[in-house]
Amino acid sequence: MRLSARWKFLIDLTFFVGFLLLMQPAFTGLSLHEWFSVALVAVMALHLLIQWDWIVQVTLRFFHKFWHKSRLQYVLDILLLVSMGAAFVSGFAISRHVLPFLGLHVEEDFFWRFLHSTSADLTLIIVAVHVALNWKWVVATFKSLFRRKQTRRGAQPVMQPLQQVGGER
Amino acid sequence: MKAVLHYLFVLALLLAFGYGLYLLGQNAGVRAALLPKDGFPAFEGRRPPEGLFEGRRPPEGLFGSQRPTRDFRGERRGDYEFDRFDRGGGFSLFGLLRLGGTLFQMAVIVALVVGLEWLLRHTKGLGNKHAT
Repeated sequence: MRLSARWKFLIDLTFFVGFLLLMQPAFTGLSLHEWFSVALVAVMALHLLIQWDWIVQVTLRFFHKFWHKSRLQYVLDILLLVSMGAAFVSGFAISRHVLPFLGLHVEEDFFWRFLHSTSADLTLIIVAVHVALNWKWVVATFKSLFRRKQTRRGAQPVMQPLQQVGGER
Repeated sequence: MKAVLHYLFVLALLLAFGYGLYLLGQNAGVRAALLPKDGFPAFEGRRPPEGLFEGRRPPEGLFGSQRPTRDFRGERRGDYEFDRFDRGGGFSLFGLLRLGGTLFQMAVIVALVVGLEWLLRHTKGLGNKHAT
C-alpha cells in the first residue's frame, strides 16, 4: 500500500501514542485500557500494511545480504510481533470488559496474567529499539513535514502578487 | 477496494497469529516452560513471606482466599492488582505521571541505541537502512 510520508508518519505516531497509553492502565483505567487495545490491533494491521512491500522484499531476499541493518530490523520486528501479540492475546484472555461485553466468559488464570505483564515489559524495550533503529526516518520525516509547512507559509507572499496579476486580467 | 481487501487480509493474518498464540498458551508444556521455575506452588498450603504478593495476585489455589491490595495512599482498593485500575474508566493524574516515566524509559533506550549506532557508523559501515 503506497501512502505519503505524512500519512505514514501520522499512522506510526498514532500507533506509538496508543501503545504508550496501553502501557499505563493506571492512567486510562482498565476499561479504556482494554478498548484502546482493540483499536490498536486495527492500527497495528495498518502499520503492517504500509510496510508490506518492505516485509515481502526482505523476506524473499533475507540471506542475499545477511549482514545488513535491515536484517537486524527484520528480526527485531518479528520479536516485536511475537511479544506484542502475546501481550494482546494474554490481555484478552484476562479481559474484564471487552470479552464480557461480547458475551464471552473467561476464567481467572495466573499464567495469562504473568504472560501479560512479562510480554508488555519486553514489548516496551523492543518498541524503543524499533523506534531507535528508525530514528533517522522519524527525524527526517518530521523535518520534511515542518519544512513543507514553512514553505507553504513562505510561498504566500509570492503567490499573492501572482494572484493579483491573474485577477487583473 | 484493493487496499481494503489487503488490509482485511493483514488483519486476518494478525488474528490468526493471535489465535495461534492463544492455543500455544493453553498448552501445558508451554505453560510449564514459561512460568517461574522456583514456583509459587512451593507455598501451597502455607502462608508466603509477608509482602511477596503485595500488589500482585497470588497464584490460583494458593490460599483459597485473596490478598487485598492497597493503593499508594494505603487505602484498600480490591483483591487484585488490576482492581486498582478497574475504576470504571476515566483518566488519572497519577497515571499521567507514570506515563511520563514510561516515556522517559523509552527515551533512554532510544538514546542508547541511536548513540551506539552512531558509534558503529563511525567505526564501520552499517549500510543503507532501506536497502533490501
